[in-house]
Amino acid sequence: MKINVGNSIFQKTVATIVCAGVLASAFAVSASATKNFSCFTSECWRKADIASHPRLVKNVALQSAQGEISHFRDFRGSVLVVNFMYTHCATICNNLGAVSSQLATRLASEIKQGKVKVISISFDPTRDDVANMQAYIKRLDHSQGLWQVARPSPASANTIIKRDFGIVVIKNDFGGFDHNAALHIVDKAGYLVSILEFVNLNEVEKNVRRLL
Amino acid sequence: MKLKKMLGAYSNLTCFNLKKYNSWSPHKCLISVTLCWLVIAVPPVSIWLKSTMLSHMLIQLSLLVLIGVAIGQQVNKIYPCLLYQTKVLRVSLLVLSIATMMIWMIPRLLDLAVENIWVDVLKILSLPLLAGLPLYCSWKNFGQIIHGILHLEALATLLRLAWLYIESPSRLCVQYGIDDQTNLGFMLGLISLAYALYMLINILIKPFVYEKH
Repeated sequence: MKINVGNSIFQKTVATIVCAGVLASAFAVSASATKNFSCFTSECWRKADIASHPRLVKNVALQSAQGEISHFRDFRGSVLVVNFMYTHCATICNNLGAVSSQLATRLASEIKQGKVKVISISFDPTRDDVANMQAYIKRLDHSQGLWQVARPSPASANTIIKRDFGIVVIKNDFGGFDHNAALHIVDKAGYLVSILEFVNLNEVEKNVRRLL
Repeated sequence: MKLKKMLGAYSNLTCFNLKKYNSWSPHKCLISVTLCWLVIAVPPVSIWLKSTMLSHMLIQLSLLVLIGVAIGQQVNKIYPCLLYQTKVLRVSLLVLSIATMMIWMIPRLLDLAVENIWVDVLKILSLPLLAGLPLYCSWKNFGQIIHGILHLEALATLLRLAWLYIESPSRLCVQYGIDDQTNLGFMLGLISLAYALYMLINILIKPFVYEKH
């Protein structure tokens, strides 16, 4: 059997159609994997997902640095700015803590009225006991107690951290953890509505005030 | 003599085209390549490979593509019409191969391959079959000019990725740390240097060697 490869018009037409099909499907697959070429990382995807579909945060118990037990449902009626950290972190959690305390200072009057809460939640609740949380606050707080630190019960930690907020925590080489660092805004009804970069506090403040 | 034996064992194992030393039949080679595919795809080894960003991207992903190429080589020996019959579709196959490789370079998909087993299965199947095999079929059907362009583009992509991974202040994958990412960046830089050197030697020295013959 002898075929004159690449010479007949029929073959060329078929080849062109197949090529167009391959191009189109490659385009479609990459568009769907990147939210129409806007999100190439998982973190971006998480932010976009929450922005389009706010998620109700499950009611879990939290213990504050003062040792009081409260539930997530108790915070309904006020806007929450939540971030996740572990207290023996040497790098980004210190920034997160400092940023949270700075934000608490900016929103001082709203916090005193009970309209806003700025909370750092530990994702390492077994190690971060009350003493460790208090040391963390002492080290980083400049807002005179307006910023709160809390830990979930070890049993419910996974529910709130991984499933509701979508935080991925991995161990690093230095005995610590790598994790998503961002400020999570929960509205008055208890829905996680947006996830913002912690570097731009003006933007965060504007978003919180919009929800009041 | 010892070197010859060693090379023979190496080429038997990997089935690359060191024809002189390769004593295995294509069927045997095809089976061994498939076994390699299986080994890097199933747990103990795949978990180890996925534990760092460097081994996941540089070792597992590139091995999967190479396995596809090796399968193409052996199939071509068993069924010599392979290249001739795929000539018509050489452009489509090249586009398919490059698109598959580009899609697997998206950081989010690397994360998903660690988190979700089905994405991992997709990765393990698609890289050899939709990237390696088509690459082999189309590569052999193109001339030196296209080869040169592709080499240059591959080198540029490696350098761009190296730059991105070294310079990025934030983590691109949530499953891997920032140090891991920087390591990968430097390794990609080293590899692209070696690649550039290899191309340079090819361009500068090979023509003279051919002239002598």
